[in-house]
Formats: sequence, C-alpha cells, structure tokens
Amino acid sequence: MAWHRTQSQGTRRRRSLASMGGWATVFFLVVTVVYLLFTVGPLAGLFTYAPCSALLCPSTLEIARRALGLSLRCSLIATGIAFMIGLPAAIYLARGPSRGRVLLDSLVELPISLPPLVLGVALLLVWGRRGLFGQHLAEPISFTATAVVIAQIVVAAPFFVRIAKTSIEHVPHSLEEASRTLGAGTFQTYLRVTLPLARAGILSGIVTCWARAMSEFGATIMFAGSFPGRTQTLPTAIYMTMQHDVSASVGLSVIMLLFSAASFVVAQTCIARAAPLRR
Amino acid sequence: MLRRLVVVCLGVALCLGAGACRKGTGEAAPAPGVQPAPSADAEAAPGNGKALTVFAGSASMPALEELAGNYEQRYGAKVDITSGGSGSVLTQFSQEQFGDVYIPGSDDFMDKAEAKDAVVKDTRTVLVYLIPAICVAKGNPKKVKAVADFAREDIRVVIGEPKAVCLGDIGKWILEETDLWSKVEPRIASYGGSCEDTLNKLLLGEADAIIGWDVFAKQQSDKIEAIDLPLELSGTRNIPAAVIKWSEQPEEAQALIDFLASDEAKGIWAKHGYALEDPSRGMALGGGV
Repeated sequence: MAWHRTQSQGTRRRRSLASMGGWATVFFLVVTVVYLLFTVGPLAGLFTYAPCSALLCPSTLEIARRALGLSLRCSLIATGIAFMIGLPAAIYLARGPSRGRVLLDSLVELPISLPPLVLGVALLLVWGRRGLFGQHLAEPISFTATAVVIAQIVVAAPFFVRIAKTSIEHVPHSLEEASRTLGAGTFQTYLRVTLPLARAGILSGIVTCWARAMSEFGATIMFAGSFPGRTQTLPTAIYMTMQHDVSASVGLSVIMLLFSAASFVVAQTCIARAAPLRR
Repeated sequence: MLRRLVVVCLGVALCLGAGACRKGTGEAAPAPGVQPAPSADAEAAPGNGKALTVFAGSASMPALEELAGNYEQRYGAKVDITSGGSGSVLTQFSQEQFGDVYIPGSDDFMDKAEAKDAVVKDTRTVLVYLIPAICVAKGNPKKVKAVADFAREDIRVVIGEPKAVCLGDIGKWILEETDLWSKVEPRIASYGGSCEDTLNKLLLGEADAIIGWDVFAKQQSDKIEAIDLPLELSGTRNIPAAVIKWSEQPEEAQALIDFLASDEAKGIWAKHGYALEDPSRGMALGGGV
C-alpha cells in the first residue's frame, strides 16, 4: 500500500513537471544549453586545430590504433572487476548495519577526492617492485598492462560503488520484506527484487565507471608508465604526443572524443531499453 | 536481465584478461614504426636478447624513437621507452630500482640523478646540445627582435618555471643579465611547468614570445621561428644519457648509449634539429644557473 502511494505520488510529480507550461520548459532548456556550452562547448575547439591533417596522418592513426586498443581492453577488464567487487560493497553500504556507515562511506569515496597522481604514487609504493606487498610478488606488476588495470580500478570503481549504492538505497524496504515474508532468502531477495529495481542506477554506474577508466591518466602514467604497445593508453599517448607534436595530440584527442561520444550513445540507448523511464 | 549482465561481465573480464593481461615485463605487442622486427641480416645483438628499458624525458623523444627503431633493426635487441617529465621518470625508476638507461631532457636532471646515486656516473655521455633562443610564432607577428623587446607592454612573455625547469633558470638568468628582470617579471603571463609546456604555451597562443630551445623552431618550422641570442647569453645545455645503477644488463645499456652517441646517430639527431656542437664552449654560465 505504501509503495503504491509512493508510486502514484512520483507519477503525479512527473506529470506536474511536464505540464508546468512553456515558460518552465524554456527556462530549463536555456539553462541546459548554457551548461552544455560551458562544459562540452570547448571540445569543439579541438576541431579547429588542423583537424583533417592531424586525423589522417598515418603515424597518428597507428598510435591511436595501438593506444585505443589497449585502453579498451584494460578499461573493460577494470570495469568488470569493479562491478564484481563493487556491487557487493554497494549492497553492504546500502543495506548493512548503520554502525560505522559514515566511516565506510567516506573510505569508499576517498579515492574520488584524491588526485589520480597521488593514487599512482601510492600504488607504486605498495605494489611496485620494492613496494610493501609488491616486493613479495613472483612477477612484478608495475609498468605492465596489469598495472594499467589496477590503476583504472582504483580510480574508477568508487564511482560505480557510489552510484550503485544510491540506487539500491532507493529501493523500498517494504518490497524486500515482502520477498522474505514469502520465503526468499537474503541473496535471492537481492538478486530477484532489489537489484532489478535498481538496475537503471547500476547500469549508469557501470557506464560511468568504464568512462572514468577509459579516461584515466595520472595513476596510470605513474604506476604503469607509458611504454608504446604495452602500457600506453590513449590518454597517456595524447599527453606524450603533446610534448613534441601538438597537431598529432589534437588528432588523438579528436579520435578519443568521437569514440567516447559513439560509446555513450550506445550505452545510453541500452540503459534506456533496459530500464525505461515512466513518463 | 541483471543476471545476464553479470554473466556477460564475467565472461568479458575472463576472456580479455587471458588475452591482454599477460604477466611479466616482456609482454609488449609488436608496434610497427617504433619497434620493427629485426631484419634478416641483423648484426649479433650486443647482449642477451632481453629488452632494454629506457626512461626518457620528453625533449629527446622525436629522435629517440627513430634511433631506437634503428637499433632494434640493426641488432635485433628490443628497446622499450617510457617517457614523461624528466623528474617524474627519475622518481619512477629510482623508486622501482629498475631500468637500463636514463635520458633526461636536460643535464640538470642528470645532475639530480647522480646526486641520488641512481645512475652510474662514469657512463654519463652527452648526446646533443640545447641552445637557448627567443621563440615566436611563425612570421613574428609582434616583430620581436631581441630580449629587450620582452619589456614591451604588448608582448606576452612566458618562461619556464625557475628552479623547477632548466629553461626557467636560463630565462631568468638572461633577463637578469640584461637588466630586464624587474621590468618583465611582473608581466610574465605564466610559467611553463616543463620545456615542452613552455613551448605549448607559444603554440596555443598564450604567449607572444618565449625563451625556449632553438630546436623547437627546427622541429616545428611551420609554426615557430627562432631568434638567436648573443653568444654571451647563450647558456647551452645538453641532453645526456647514462646507465641506470640497477640495470641488470649494464653492458647492453652502454652499447645502446654508444649507439645513440655514434656518428651514425648524429645524422638523425641533426635531422630532428638538435645541435651537435656547443657554440658557447669556453664560456661559463653565470648567475648560478
């Protein structure tokens, strides 16, 4: 009963927003346009800096092919691992005991507030060849593709956990209680009730995590270096190329921009189909 | 649906993990251009066949990539180069105690490496020289002719960060020697965090004139031109190389350095605009630079 009341209140709120009138729509549209001009508009400047010659240069395309391939492989692995270990963490943060919740929340989100370079230095000190744990490893991790994946997980996973946790928190407790009342266990309730209802947020969290992993630079370059073909991701390739060829660097930036834009369109389409909004 | 997603993520992670994240340091995928396969008549590799790891500052990269490719083709020995800020890569290999050759963008970073006991001092070899010059946009739209023009109100000046970047120390010294520092310093538009950052500020229009290296203009002759400084103001630096103290193949590392300093390599350095002689030989830098 309470859930139905919440549902109809939400539907009424959405309908009232849509029916507020043309002026409200115009206002929100104008603010949205201003926001986009401020945040996305500068990207258009990339296309004004020798775009065609930079994009079509064979050496630029070769660097892009190599670096983009590595970025894609490592970011997908990092996102997969972040999902596997981050989802249980998000469930615990959303549904676990309240004691210590504030501290746990802060710890989980701490990497978000730190510069990625700091995280890279920390990874080097802990997992490097002479690191606290790294010195005991049979094979070194630093300056390998594994280091790229680890750096991406450390930087990007907190974004997934934060979004997933928030989404799970908004699933009404009453539904989970009803599920348990009907005989479902804890894991079954989470798998068949909680997570499906939170799927829009979880999917958004996955996309955000992947995007952050793809764009990761600071921790990667410190922990994995920038060896072409081995640990040079597209962001590090853009930075390295900037040191001696701005046109090539802009060309690589445009390639990354186009790839990211296409990926987001696909991702948002999938999310919209998997979890359609009720309008 | 979520269950399907979990299965897909697991599958993707496992498949890609098996293919992409092979353990160990020798996992580089062949990359044409920089790391070509050894030619059929490659000379006997001066070493044990293991890849040489080079930590390089960005200043030498254009020529270094070509030279590394030639070395691999000639000797069949792989050369893996990671580059970045000279200080950053010094920190990386010092912390890891790993690597074979260090090639910073300027000699002051090699001084730091020697002070940290991170390189073998006897192996320090000068590869090329860096000559300071006034760099301006192609066509010299603001008609800058000499250092004295830096005091003009309509000129936006950028120099490297003094104390942090060798170009910054040189820029400040030049302005002090010409009694311009007190007039120019309050109007400096910004400081470059590295030699390349200083160059980029000119390329991206944030500066009208910088004190850079003459090699900037030679490498980007379509965008930049250089105005020579008087000999008494040209505090020449150099790009050195040395064997890293923790190298597990010091002889092979030395062989690479010898190749980079060879007459054959000089042609490639010159092609990329680097100076092979020190025009200020015999003239000491002043001002504590």
